[in-house]
Amino acid sequence: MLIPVSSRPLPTPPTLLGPVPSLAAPALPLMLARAACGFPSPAEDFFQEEDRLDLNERLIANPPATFLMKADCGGSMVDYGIQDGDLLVVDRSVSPRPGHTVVALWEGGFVCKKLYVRGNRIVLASSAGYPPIIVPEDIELEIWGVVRSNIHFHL
Amino acid sequence: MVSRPSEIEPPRFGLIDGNTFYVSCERVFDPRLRGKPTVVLGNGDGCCIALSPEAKALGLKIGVPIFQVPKDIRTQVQVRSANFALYGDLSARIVSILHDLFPRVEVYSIDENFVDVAGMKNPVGAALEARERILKWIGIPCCAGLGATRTLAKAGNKLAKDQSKRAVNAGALSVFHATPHKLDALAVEDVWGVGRRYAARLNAEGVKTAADLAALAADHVRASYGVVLARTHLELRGVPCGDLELEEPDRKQLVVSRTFGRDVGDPMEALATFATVACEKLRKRGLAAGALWVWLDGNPFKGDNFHASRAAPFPFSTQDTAEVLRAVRFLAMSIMREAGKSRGVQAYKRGGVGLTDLVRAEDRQADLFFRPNEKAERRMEVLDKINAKFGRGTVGVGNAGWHVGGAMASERRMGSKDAQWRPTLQALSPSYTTKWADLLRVG
Repeated sequence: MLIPVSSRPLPTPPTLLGPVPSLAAPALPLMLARAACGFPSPAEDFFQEEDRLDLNERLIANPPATFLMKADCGGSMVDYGIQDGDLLVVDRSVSPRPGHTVVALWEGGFVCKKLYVRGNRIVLASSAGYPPIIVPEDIELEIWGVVRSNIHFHL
Repeated sequence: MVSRPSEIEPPRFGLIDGNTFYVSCERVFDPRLRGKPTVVLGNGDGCCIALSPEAKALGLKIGVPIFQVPKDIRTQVQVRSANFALYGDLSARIVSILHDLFPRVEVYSIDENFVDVAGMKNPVGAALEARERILKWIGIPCCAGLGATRTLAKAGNKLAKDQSKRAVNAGALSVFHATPHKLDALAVEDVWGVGRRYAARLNAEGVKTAADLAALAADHVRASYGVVLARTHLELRGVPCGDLELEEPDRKQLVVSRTFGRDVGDPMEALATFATVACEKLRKRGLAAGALWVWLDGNPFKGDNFHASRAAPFPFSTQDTAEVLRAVRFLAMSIMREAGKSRGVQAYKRGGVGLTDLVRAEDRQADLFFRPNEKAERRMEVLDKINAKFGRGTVGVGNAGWHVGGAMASERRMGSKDAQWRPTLQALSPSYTTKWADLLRVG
């Protein structure tokens, strides 16, 4: 009667708000339950529910303003530590400043670039060998969000 | 004695809502849609459920089936299928921002939130701050109405929309504090709680604007329009008749229905799925169903006005999906047999399942013959836990076809069994915020 349909490696939908339960749950709480009938666990007094490390806490400063994106820059951001396939953690509540890595709208599409100001021109810079975009003075540049971190997967 | 509306009543409520919310959500991740006439289709790509101002300017209307729009207009319009996963996520972010700024928030609908501004020093400033944050952090433009009552807040919201529509950068124009004396610009049919029927009668009486309605004598409103409009009337005068509803009142019924992707001969699997979803919602709210009804429609656009519905009570209010499914099967078979007798082969375009006579599960009184089937209900508890952990549809009962959101255009070719009745969403945007595979790619 019970038909398993799929087993997914990650819970869907992934949630940005609040903890990621199955990822952020280390086996530690089990020690509490098991310790009752034997030698009392020396860890018991030092462990509380809120002591769990939550990756969201480190990566996401402002959950409602944070969006995840995928880097697909054709290698143009390698000098700045972003490789294709990386997960970008983009925060829209941060006001963009020179030196920030940003997601900008350029020619109708989303691009990930380093934001600089040279003279009084805005420059969107990429790795060496990729020409920087020098934003013409009469063009309004839209910065969609500021990249707070990127996550590179080794496996 | 007629009570005069007080002069400057401080606002107690705010209503903050996203401008053409679904279209705005699509535009956050698809800047090509900006400034272009854009519509969002609901009901399995049937009718327009949201229009950008540019689309409204072309003469498109909410609720109109897209195929009835003349081709020369349709080609100018950007069309998207409703992507509720995206809208729901952005909506939750907006609520989270409002919770930071206001002591209480009532989620009124996916794009409208009432907030508590009573006793705030600068409610207009707070509403502006909320608007700025929502615009910057999420990318959705909002308007806010403030008022001493919910009806005034709602009226203020409409007036803010009207006046900020004319501005390029709405800013402060997007917040309107509605007082009983600033309602001249609001048509009476746009007052919250005044239906089309009341509006016609009021118009006949010479009542054209919200200000006219507020000026009517209370006795007269109560006597000729009843207690519901009398409340609206009082609220327009700044007398609150209701507080924020922070908890959703218990539902009286739960309905799940869809238009099928194409005409189907055997709607059983679709109905089973609707019933399963309805039962999940039922248990989540701690309710049990006393009765069930099932309906099936033909395709009215092919001139087939077939409609049939059957209802049946349960012997005892139930939470058990299996029991509901048995009843759905029984009722649907009965409809199909009946249709077959008189019309030969009947094709179905739409169907639904409703659970009614809902009661709180713990309030059910067991008697000598009927009591909750505890074993079955414990089984449902386990089922819900599994599905909550691993995603809806991981395990189910019987022949319920699972993925309820609608088929992607590509799936139909793959011959997926339930792609037959699931609406085909031709222009569904990616679920940028809720699916790993759909994350926006940045060049």
